[in-house]
Amino acid sequence: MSSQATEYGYVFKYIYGMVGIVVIGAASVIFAFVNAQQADRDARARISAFHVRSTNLVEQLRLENHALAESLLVREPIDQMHTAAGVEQTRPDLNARLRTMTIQVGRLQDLQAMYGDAEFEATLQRIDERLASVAALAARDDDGGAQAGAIAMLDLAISQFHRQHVFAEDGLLSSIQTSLERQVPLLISIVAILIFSGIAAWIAIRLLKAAIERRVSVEEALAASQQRVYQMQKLEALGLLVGGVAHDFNNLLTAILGQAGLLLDTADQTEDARESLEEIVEAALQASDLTRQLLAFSRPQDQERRVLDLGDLVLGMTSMLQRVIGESVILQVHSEPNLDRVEIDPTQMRQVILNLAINARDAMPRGGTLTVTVDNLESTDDEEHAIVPEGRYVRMLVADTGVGMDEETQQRLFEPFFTTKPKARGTGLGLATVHGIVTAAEGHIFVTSRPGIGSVFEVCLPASDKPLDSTEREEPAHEEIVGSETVLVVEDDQQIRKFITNGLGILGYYVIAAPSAAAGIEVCEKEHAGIDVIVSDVIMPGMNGAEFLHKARELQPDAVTMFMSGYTDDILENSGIDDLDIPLLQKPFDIKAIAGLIRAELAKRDTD
Amino acid sequence: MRVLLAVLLASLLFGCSDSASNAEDQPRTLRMGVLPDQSEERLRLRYLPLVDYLEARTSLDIEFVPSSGYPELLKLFADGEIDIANFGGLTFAQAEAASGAEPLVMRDTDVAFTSCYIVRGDDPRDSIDEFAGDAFTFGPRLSTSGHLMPRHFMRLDGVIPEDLFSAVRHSDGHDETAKWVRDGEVGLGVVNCVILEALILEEQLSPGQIRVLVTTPTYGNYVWAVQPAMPADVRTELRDAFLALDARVPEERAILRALGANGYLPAGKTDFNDVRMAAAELGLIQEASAD
Repeated sequence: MSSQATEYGYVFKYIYGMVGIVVIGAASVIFAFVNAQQADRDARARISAFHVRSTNLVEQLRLENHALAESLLVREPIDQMHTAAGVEQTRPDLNARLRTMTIQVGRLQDLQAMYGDAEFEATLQRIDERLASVAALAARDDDGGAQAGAIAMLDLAISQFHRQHVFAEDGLLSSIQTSLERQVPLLISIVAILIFSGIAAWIAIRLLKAAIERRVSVEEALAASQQRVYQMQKLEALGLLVGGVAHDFNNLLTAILGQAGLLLDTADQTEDARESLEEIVEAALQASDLTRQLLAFSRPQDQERRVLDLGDLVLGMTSMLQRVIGESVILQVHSEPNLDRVEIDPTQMRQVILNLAINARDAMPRGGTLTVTVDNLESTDDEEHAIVPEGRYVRMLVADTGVGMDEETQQRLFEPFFTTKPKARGTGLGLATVHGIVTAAEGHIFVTSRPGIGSVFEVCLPASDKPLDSTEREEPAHEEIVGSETVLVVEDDQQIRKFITNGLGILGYYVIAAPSAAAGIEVCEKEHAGIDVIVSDVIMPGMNGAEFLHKARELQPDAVTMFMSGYTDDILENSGIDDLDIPLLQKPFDIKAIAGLIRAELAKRDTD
Repeated sequence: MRVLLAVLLASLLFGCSDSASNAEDQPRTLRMGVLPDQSEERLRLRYLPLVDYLEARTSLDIEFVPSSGYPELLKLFADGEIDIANFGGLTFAQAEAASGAEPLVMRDTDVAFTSCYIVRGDDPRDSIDEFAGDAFTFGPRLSTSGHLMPRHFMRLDGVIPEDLFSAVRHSDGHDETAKWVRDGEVGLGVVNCVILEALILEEQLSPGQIRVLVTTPTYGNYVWAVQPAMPADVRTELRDAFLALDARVPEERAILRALGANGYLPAGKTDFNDVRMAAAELGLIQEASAD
């Protein structure tokens, strides 16, 4: 995951933390709720126990009072209606009974004091008063009627007290029930809210997570895209640098090769000197090869683009590729029928394929499979390869089952001189060249790789609607390169100027050398005998090659003209030479090349 | 979630509003209604000493509100026109079902009220079954002691009066029932035991003329009931005033005599379980309450 994903990770942590706090809070509320319920119930249970104890005491008191009354009550006429005859009355020990009752009332008062319930206070007081009244009458041994009345009123007060307790307890139980009935829906509501909140939070988190993941994925794609652009820009900058260095180096090599060639052509050389010269030429040629590759990376200049079938090209290379990759690697080549055509220099495309194959071979030291597949690709904007502009492409996939590459290697892969191979084996220019060629052909190249699994190089070349070129052009035949025509060489580099002057001079030409465009114009003005050939460098201080030849052609309309340059195409593009339709000789070249071109151009002029 | 929260808050507020509203409508003047079982003049004579006693004993003003009949009494109570009323067992059950009347106090005799099955003094039969095929009379149809409860207990014993007796009649009052029995118009009748005692004490009947064959199980009957919204302190004040009535004090004895009581006892909803059930059986209230 990228750094953005890590940031969102913190967001998730916060969300989960908040949900956790809510859950803990809710759990605390429920705990407090249940705890309060329990405390409430306990309190009610204690009060209920109080009612029960009080009721039991009152019950005993009433029994005592009834016993007391039994002995004193005078039968009313109505009672006689229920019983056949009066029962012999025995007078009980009133004092003993009254003592017991006083103790019971005392207990009741203690019990009331313990709970301090004002509800029963008045009635309890009444019991006390009426018991005292009964006791007073008993002490006086008053008449039975007054005693019976007092006992009846005491009994009434006891009944009042008893019933008050019974109803209070009933009411208590009923209020507990009511309280539960009220609280249960409340609890259910709280639980429902919690469940609802939980579900809502879960959905919200899922939605948020999905949104963040989408965002992360977009940002990652964007970052990858920016990385690619950065890589491209880096490679382009490197290309400019390398191109500049290679140009200057080429000029030096041209001089070295030229001078060495002249010396070799001179007959009076000792054998030792000849060998030394040949080694110089060999080394210079190797160096020249190196600069050619550098130039191919920076911007291949001498492209000879042709419309071709990439599948046919790849299939045509099968046996050569098999030789290159060796027997331990299995080669598989697939090409889609009805492939679109592409426009590219076939020689350079072969180099691309070859370099990729060599790279794959080196990635599979213990053998494996190299698969080259060519097919058509229709790219739209929203597809995986957002970097490939919308359009039709021919895609070549070069896949190996080798050691693969890590992320860093993949990022630096196309840089010149970047190599993971042993020093003796790789120059670090193979894939840089591939990149240069593909980019010059307006194509794209990508790599996908996983260490231990293998790598896939994907080359996408724009499809061309032009008709197929039937055959490859033959290299122009080397004609006689000697001549006696007058040649004007305009070159600011003194070594090259000298090399060309000497070389063409040896071949019989009459060479006039000019160190600048201004000097060249002067020669053209003065040389009335006529100049046959004008060879000019393109980029020079002061007037450049294009401007010079433009004027020179006016002064010497019969002369054939040609450019020579060590610069890359994009620099030359701005130099104005395209407007003149003049052949360009790419540095470094040997004297035979320039002489051959001179002869070819002269022959062309003569036949016109 | 907002809806649920609103419901939760509303339920909390609603829960509080009950007790809050109680304090507001505390009556300074208490309006008293009674069963219109006598003329208004006689009712005033009977109840005004009680009104005076209550006013003296409490901080309340009591206003006596007469009513023309049981339905009006119930309506006045249901409309909140009266705050305290003296109901019979059945009318209480109806007031309770209709407007949540709550029992306050009862006479001592009312907590274990009974109905008496009476026969002529010279009738030798000992059980109700022996009167099968004879004529039988209840009291008035809406009388708790004369009809509702006797029929309820008969039903519990598996007796259907219409099946057992040759004729089932309804008198206009307990005294008429006693007279029909005494005069042999019916073999068996059922009356309010308290009224029967009064008839004997007043010597409208002599003990030899009528004999009590059997009494019903006890049940709660008359009750002073109050509005459910009456504040607890007013309720307690009223209750304690009733409970303090002392037969040994001459003025209070007169009040108790007029009301036919020896004293008052606290009343509870459970006192009316049987009445409630009986009323529901006869379809006189919607449904018997749980308690």
